[in-house]
Amino acid sequence: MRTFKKGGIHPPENKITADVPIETLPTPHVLTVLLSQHLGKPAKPIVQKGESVKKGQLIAEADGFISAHVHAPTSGKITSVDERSPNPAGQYSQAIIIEADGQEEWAEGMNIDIEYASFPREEKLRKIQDAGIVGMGGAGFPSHVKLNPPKDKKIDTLILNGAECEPFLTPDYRLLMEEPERVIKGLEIVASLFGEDLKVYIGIEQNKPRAIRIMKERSKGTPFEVVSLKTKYPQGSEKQLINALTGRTLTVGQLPFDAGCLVHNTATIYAIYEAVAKNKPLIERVLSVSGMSIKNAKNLRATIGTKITDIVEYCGGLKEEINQLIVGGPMMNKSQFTLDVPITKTTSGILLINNKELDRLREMACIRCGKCVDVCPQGLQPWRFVDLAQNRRTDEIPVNMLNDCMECGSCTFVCPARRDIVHWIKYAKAMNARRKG
Amino acid sequence: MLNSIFIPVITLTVTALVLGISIVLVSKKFHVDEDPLVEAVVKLLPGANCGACGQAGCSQFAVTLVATRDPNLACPALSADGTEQIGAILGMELSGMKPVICTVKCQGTTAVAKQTAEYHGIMDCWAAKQAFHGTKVCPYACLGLGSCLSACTYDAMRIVDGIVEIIEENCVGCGLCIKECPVNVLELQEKKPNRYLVACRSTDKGAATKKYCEVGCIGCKKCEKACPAEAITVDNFCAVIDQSICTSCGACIEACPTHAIVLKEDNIRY
Amino acid sequence: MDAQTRPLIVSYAPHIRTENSIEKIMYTVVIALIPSIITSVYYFGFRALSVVIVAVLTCMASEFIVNKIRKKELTCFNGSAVVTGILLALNVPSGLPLLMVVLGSVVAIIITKELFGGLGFNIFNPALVGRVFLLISFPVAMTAWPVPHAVDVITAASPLGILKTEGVAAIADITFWKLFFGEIGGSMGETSALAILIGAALLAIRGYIFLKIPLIFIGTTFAFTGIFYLIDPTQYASPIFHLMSGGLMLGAFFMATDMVTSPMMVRGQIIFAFCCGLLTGIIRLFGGYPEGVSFAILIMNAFVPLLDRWDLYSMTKRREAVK
Repeated sequence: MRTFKKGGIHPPENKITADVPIETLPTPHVLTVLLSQHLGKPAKPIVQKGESVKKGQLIAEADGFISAHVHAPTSGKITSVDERSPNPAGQYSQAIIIEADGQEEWAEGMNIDIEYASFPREEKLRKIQDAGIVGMGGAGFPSHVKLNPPKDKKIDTLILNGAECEPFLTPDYRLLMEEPERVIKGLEIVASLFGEDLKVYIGIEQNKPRAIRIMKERSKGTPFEVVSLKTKYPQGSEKQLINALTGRTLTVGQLPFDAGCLVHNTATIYAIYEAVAKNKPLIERVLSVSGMSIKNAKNLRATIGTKITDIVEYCGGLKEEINQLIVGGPMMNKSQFTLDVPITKTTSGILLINNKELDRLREMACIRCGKCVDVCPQGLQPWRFVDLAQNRRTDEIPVNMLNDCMECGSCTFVCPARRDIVHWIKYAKAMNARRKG
Repeated sequence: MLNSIFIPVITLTVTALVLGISIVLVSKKFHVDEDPLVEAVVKLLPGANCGACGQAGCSQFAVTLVATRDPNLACPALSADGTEQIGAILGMELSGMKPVICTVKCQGTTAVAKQTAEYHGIMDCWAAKQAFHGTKVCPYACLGLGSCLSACTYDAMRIVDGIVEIIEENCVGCGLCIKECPVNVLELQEKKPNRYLVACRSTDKGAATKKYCEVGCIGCKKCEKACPAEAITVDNFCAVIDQSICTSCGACIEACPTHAIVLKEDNIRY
Repeated sequence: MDAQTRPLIVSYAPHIRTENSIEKIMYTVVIALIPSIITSVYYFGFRALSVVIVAVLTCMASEFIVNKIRKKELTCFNGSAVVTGILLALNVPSGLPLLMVVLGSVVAIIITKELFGGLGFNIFNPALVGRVFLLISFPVAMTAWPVPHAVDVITAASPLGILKTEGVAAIADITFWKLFFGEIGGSMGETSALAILIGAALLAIRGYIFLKIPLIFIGTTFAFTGIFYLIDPTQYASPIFHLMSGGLMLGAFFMATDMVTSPMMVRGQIIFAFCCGLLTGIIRLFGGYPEGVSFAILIMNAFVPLLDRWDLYSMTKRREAVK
């Protein structure tokens, strides 16, 4: 059982939806499709208000190199192209509103079986780009860009990220359990984009033994290696996965392709399979609705653009008044200010909780216990960053150390003085950026 | 016994003398020639070292002024009298700065502006903006967490009911707080005995603005029509009063249905 | 119930935290010190307990007063004042006049901790500063070590004191087991090595102290005194004697490991522990005082910010080089 060398923590797993099979959420009447569901520039709308669209039709084009297309998640009428909607990042941004006509009529040529085995590399990449596939683990980096690294970077390792180290989240686990063949086929498609000597790892955390067993069985006959990883947060982070599976370490500013590796999330690989084999654009995804305050915690296959209020209603409503709604995992993702948020391509979970922690969250002085230093997976000194940031001396923080912080939250989790370390680090990064220009 | 008194006394006296003489010699050798003019100028400056003049502190301002005799170098915290006095010492006319004062273009207290959610975290406006959109639904509202307050060296700001208030007697218009606001809700305006301004920057349509704030500007144009001097323009559903044309007649404040226009009585003699 | 009427609360990630807290750490240290309190009562009677209680209460009261003056939240109940009080009490003779205990506690909390900014900001270990202050101000009272199990208050010199003034021959009859269990004269907490080890084991299991500092500290003193013992056993006591007597055990396990005043990074911790051990040995063997642990730790406390700075600098340089 492998793991990454430095740091890491083990927060309570709370995988209460682990054994709940995926349910399909019926498409709601109104869909709020955000124009920015990925890293990079938001997509530009190409439809008008009042236009009728079919399911899967392209409604917004990618703007620039690092950007992705956005498609209509269902058939219906466009009622607005510049609606201001809250987004899962806690801000307001532009969205296209579609009123569903209930027909679920696919656009031409979509959702059909394609013979893709003979496609050349460029054709497969084109289909991935046309389908608007982005990293669905949370970052949202356009996949066609990721799968096409600069020519001088030789890729010799492909890793399927089945770690799912965040507490509460189980969508990747359920995908591996229920549709392993499609995941394997998607992995084969991605592997075929690179050379014959590509080593493929499927990394799954050891708290999912059934998934490991199923993947081992289904991958017999393929050159893929299923590796059991120690359950430690943040195992699912790219740098830590690469370190655990290949032993290579990425230094400051390096990306996975600098170490010859490519890491992809399970849901992304699944979506790639659907894009290439069935001509389906990315318009739905599996997510976990979890938390102690929801009546029926489920794993749902939901259409992109569904509002969280609809999802909560479908899951039976709330047991009690909540005080926090988190979109994503509780370690790295944002708490929301309203329930009226639509889901996007990168929403892997919705947590409805009554967070008792908030009562105890008064920052106290740093007692120099050194726990943050012990658990930092990047080997940084979080206490020093907070000290300098609080005294408004953010320019004294060594820049390469600050940028190496991936804001995983391990330091803040263990701090006995309840210091808001990650927030101060993010604040320091913002202050330095402001100062520069 | 005498030995045991004499020897220590003599040793210590000699040591003290040697050290004392060394200090005098060193202070003479490393003496920095202070221009008495510079010292006189520094005495007239407020000494807050706010940096608004563009120099690194009050002493630096004095040194630069005495060296370059630049008439445009001005200290915003000085009254017209103070500027005259400095000019008199140096034997020149200083242009000084027109008296300006900081204004908050928002009246969205917790009573009238709709809140989004409670915020638990670093009490700083930039930090809050990173965590989420802000404590108020209005995207142009003052967040009320005080990033501007921490920049003010004249103690001229306080937070009341969720927004920032300027303590007008103390504000000298140095402008340091302006840069600290992530939503650009602070503005420097020239002081006038009766200054009317629109305390709102919302460029959302009137219906939307009314939904999230009772005192926001809805762009109804009633003020534009009421103004006899044509000093008000409503652009993008937000009214702006041109202070250079405004005659302070007060017709606009009566016409405004949401009380978005306010009156400030500035004390020009500061 | 389905409708959400209460506004949500927005906090920044991560939204879940550990169960650990400052209070938990401090009160676990208190529990780890209980064996030492029990043995001190066993050997020196209930007077020992009253010293502990007076010290703890004065420390908490001093912190309370300073909190009120600074108009800040009350920190006197978070356990750090209790720990300081107990450690200070365990460092003084059980017969010390209570007024001196009060004075020592006030100096420890107000001057060493609160004047520097409160918990987390002090450079020197508060209990040690209190003890050294008392030692220098009231040298006679602070070296009047009661004899264990005495019915009346008889005082005699501690083993280290005897060693300093009368030499190796005079301590020949103090057996190892007496030193280990604590049936010797000395300050309340330093006599019983066994009690200290039990407490330290508890803290090490919970992960609140890093064993490298105490082990390197003790190891260095052992080696240093050992070298001189091998050179001349008639003039220098055996290293085992040095290990078990005086405040070495208490200082190494509870004072040198104090989180606030010890270095954050490994190299700094090693240097800190090594120099503490060296200084203790030097003062004990060649200095004017029979006991050197308090001074050694305080001197090294002053170097801790420098050690941290150096470590950070090296770490930054190393990271830049790798690029």
